[in-house]
Amino acid sequence: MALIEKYKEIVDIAQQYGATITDSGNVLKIEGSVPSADLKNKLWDIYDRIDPNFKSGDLVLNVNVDTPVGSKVKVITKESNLNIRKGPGIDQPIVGKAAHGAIIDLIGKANDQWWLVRDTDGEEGYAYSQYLELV
Amino acid sequence: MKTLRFLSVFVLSMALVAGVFSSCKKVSDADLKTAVETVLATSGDYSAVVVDVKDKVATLSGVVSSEEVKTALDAALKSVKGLKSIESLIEIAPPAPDFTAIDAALQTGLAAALKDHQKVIASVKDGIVTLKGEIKKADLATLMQKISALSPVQILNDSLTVK
Repeated sequence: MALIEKYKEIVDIAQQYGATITDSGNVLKIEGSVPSADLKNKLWDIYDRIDPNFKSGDLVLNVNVDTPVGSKVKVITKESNLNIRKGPGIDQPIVGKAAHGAIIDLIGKANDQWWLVRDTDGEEGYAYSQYLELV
Repeated sequence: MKTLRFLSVFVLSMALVAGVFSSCKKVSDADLKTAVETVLATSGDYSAVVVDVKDKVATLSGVVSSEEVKTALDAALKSVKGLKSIESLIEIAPPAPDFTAIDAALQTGLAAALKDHQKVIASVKDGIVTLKGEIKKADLATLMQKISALSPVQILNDSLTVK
């Protein structure tokens, strides 16, 4: 079965938001963004249902939540506080911490992985974007 | 005597007929196609080349890895008798992409992605991320999302134990 058929449910939703779909033959790549974290999580739930534990290695689902600079974002670490660093990278010194569940300001983006944030104390620095969710 | 003369004329004419027949022996397009395919089968270099023969003209299409392979194939096909001409639509494949920079970027991204998943080990080659070790089911989607955001060529996690 063609991968685009196997993951049709995901493809259909992603395409509504203008995602790019590429099929290399053994890997389907879906890249784009969706307007909410709920929708992103829904896509991942479907993915886990179609391919339990994502074991087949035939899909790269690179769908992020459209989060413009200036948005409020929530810290969605599992339980710990989120490190805020001087620069974009885990080798950078930690300049502050944002509490788990806190809502902070997104004020810039170094790249897709590292976003510049201002926490509730007014401290500014870079945080790992995968632990930030648009509110 | 008459019989002998008749016989010799007969033999001579039979030989002539045979000669004429063998010189314009019908080589079908299908035969030629098989002959070219036999040549193509001699080397793995030609595995992505296909041939079509029509009116004794062979048309080759597909991809080979280099100009040298293409030249070698042209030379090898000279051994196929009966072809009027060979038309080559064969393309030279672009060189394999260099993954050095992509892999380096993935390594950097993985350091951050794996920071909170200490029991997971990742390796990177040619843009493909391979995951080993173990992870809790509750954390699996989070990890996969982090790695997918790095836009790798592929993520292989079938050796990752999900607890």
